[in-house]
Amino acid sequence: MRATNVLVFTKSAPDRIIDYLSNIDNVLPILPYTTGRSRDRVRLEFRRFKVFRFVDNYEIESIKRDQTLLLLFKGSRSNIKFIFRPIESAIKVTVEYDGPRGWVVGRYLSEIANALVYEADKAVYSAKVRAVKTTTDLSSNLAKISWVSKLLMKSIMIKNENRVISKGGLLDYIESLISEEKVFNKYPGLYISGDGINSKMRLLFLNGELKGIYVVIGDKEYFGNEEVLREVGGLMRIRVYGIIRPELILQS
Amino acid sequence: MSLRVHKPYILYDNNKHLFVWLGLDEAEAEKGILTNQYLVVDQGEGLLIDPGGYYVFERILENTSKFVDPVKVKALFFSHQDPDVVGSLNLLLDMFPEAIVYVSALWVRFLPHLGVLDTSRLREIPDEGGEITIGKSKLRIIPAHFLHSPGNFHLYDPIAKILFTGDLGAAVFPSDEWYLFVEDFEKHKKYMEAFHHRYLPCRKAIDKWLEMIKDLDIQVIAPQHGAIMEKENVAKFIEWLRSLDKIGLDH
Ligand SMILES: [Fe+2]
Ligand SMILES: [Fe+2]
Repeated sequence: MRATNVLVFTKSAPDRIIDYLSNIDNVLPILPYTTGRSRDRVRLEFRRFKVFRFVDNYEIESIKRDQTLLLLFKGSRSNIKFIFRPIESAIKVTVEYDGPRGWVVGRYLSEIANALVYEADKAVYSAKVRAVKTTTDLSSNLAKISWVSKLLMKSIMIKNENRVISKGGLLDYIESLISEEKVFNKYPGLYISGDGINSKMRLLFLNGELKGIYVVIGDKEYFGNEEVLREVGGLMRIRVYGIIRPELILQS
Repeated sequence: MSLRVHKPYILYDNNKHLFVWLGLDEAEAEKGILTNQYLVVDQGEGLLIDPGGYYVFERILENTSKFVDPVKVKALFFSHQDPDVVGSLNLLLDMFPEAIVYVSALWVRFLPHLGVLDTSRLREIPDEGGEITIGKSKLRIIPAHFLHSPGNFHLYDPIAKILFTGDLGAAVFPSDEWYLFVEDFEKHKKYMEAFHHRYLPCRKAIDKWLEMIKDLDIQVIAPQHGAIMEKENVAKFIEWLRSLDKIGLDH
């Protein structure tokens, strides 16, 4: 038997993450190296070029005692144990493997332990952020792919262009865009997005008014900050979408 | 229990060139009809294959971002015009701002109905196929008309030696089963039969395709639905297609 330890630092509270992972339905979608499912079994498969291939089908059991979670993978050729324990702002995962080719399989298992904590952390963290932010905050909604997805599926792409925009000139450009193109008046809402060399923006206009601003410069995000639009410039790839019935999206 | 596998699986990797399966979601209403989406990366540039509909989009974007910057995704390949292939076009055009869309000349004029009035990023693939350059690699667009769509293409990656076959090779799993790689071909062909008898129009379409691919070195067949076939299963699949009768109008 082989055992290794992995320590992963987390954004969310470790006990919340461990709670999340104790539900097998949460574990299954985020389990790397999954290549099959049948009833209560999951297939994991590790391969490296043509030299190494390991496959087994596992039944997973989750046992939680106090703060400690044990995920037990019972396979036909091997058994894997992941033991999760909270340590301050981190989770320590002990991985035990009992089966063939331990020296290679072990490497993949450490990667799985890392990925499970990382993905669960992300899920717990975004659930918390969702609960804090109100849905009427359009600027922060623009940061969410799920919200933008809904918006765009009910929108029409009317313009796509590449344009060099001088520093500070973005709002002038957008104003001229809106007044130039008669077609824009047909839509009660407009979504304008742009990508520059080091920046990204998503804007939402409702009845001609700028109601949502989301800007990323480098790795910093800005919400509802009109001033920061002056910093966005250079070569921009711009898309403009007309929103046919904004009320449908705003309610959700 | 719904079937969601949100982790990608790397099918080929030589450090410069990658071919990745992008995970899986099962919509409640379409039990068993699972769709596969794939990503090719070469020298830091990406191409998405049949990137699909609205409800798979978030996963596609997230998993793609693990391998390539979305701005570096240069191409979207659509094998044909079905909703499970082109459904999220508006989203794709926004989130992959540099990507050019490649689709059959027969279908380009229908795409504006998805709400795309600016067609400057849509490219027609002529009936005879063509090539898409990604990084330093050239992917070959192989004509596969009437399999099942009248304007239909497959995509061959000569580095990974993977042939993406769109709906050809589609399989429908029973509700409690799914696997990514075919292990037992005899069992798997039962999951493919119904689709191929009903959705393909006639035997001749298959014969033309067999002629088209006969000189390709194919190590892996990667379909849009169902499971991936490798090594000896590639030959078994081709043999199975050769033997199929009572297709479409003759069914
Ligand atoms: Fe189709
Ligand atoms: Fe399909």
